[in-house]
Amino acid sequence: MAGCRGFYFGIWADHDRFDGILLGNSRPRSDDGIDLFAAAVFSVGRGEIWTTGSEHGIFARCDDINLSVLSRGMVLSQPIPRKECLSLQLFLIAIVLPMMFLAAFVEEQKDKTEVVREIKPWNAAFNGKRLSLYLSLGLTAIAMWAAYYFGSLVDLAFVYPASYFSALWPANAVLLAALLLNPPRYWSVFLLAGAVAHVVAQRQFWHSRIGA
Amino acid sequence: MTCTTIYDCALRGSDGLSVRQFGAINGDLGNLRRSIIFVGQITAATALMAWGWPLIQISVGYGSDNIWLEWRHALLSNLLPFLILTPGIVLGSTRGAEIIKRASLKQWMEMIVILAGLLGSGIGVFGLKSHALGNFPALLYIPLPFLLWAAVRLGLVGLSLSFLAFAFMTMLNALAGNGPFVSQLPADNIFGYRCS
Repeated sequence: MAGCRGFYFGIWADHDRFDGILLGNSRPRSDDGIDLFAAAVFSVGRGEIWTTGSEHGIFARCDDINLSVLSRGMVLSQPIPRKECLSLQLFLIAIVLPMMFLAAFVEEQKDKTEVVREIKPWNAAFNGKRLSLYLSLGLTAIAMWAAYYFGSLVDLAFVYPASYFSALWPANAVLLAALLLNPPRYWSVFLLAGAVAHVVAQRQFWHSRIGA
Repeated sequence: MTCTTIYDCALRGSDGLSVRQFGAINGDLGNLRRSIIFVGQITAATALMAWGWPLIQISVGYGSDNIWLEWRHALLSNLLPFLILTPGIVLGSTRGAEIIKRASLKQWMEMIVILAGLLGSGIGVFGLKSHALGNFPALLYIPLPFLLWAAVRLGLVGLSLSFLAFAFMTMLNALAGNGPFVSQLPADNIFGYRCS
């Protein structure tokens, strides 16, 4: 361990008093020989504040930096700090808006030159002779539940370390689309399905994190 | 978790009501006027409902004290997927079968080329170390021609798919510590954290 060299960082403090940033090219050890970084990696992964018990160091739970993945002193990944993530989101919104308007404009122009088509409802495939209304509603709700659940699992990979928010949460877009495509009298079914999927995905994610 | 679940449901419901109530869409977003109204309404409703998040955080004693920052988190995290995905899903649901039926081999090839171009240019640009982009910020615009191509040739559904791939790739690179949206040193991040 002592021979491992690389870039290390952490908060150097005297108990709870913040003293400064620890940066270095060698792996520091406490007086009693505990490897500070290894211990920090161990405990920060569980979201706790770790201390050596001496006055040498404390690794606060640094939500916006990566202390959870350190291997042989190399920083392998680095969660996006919150403010930088906001910049990234603004960048994406700034691009998607003009593109969306352009695509809508082009589609409008195409529609003008083509035969006017009939807009079919969301669950047109289930309607009418083949399936009853309740069955079609149930199938749609199940499909939305599955989309929301699996979407949430993907989304949770983008969660801000310091909050519950994900940088991108497409599962909500799925639910909103389902609401927009169905009459408000059926919304309770979709909201309930979304809530159940939300709770299941969240519990699974946080349990897996805590148990890691 | 209960709070966040209720909050999420309320947010979706209010957004849906807002858009429904004012008649922005009727199963069809492939229209410039309706798209503009949709964006305006969804932004306004999300911005309003986003205030609920900092209030929840304060009430449960979690999160930072910076209400403005929390509000921006709530707004942007919810608004971005609404803008990227919802029009694509709505249109795909109403016109999907027709679009697939009418799509020519050429259009499928275009879709593949666009996705490959977006992924390739995206990895090339957003996969770079953050300091590498410092001298060439124009590199950020490399994926734009592919997105323009998708918007013009593939419509809202194709654009949604393409943009989703682009957004995921950008985020994954940022999470891996690459790209222009990650500061150069972990020390910068820790200072930002301590000072925020």
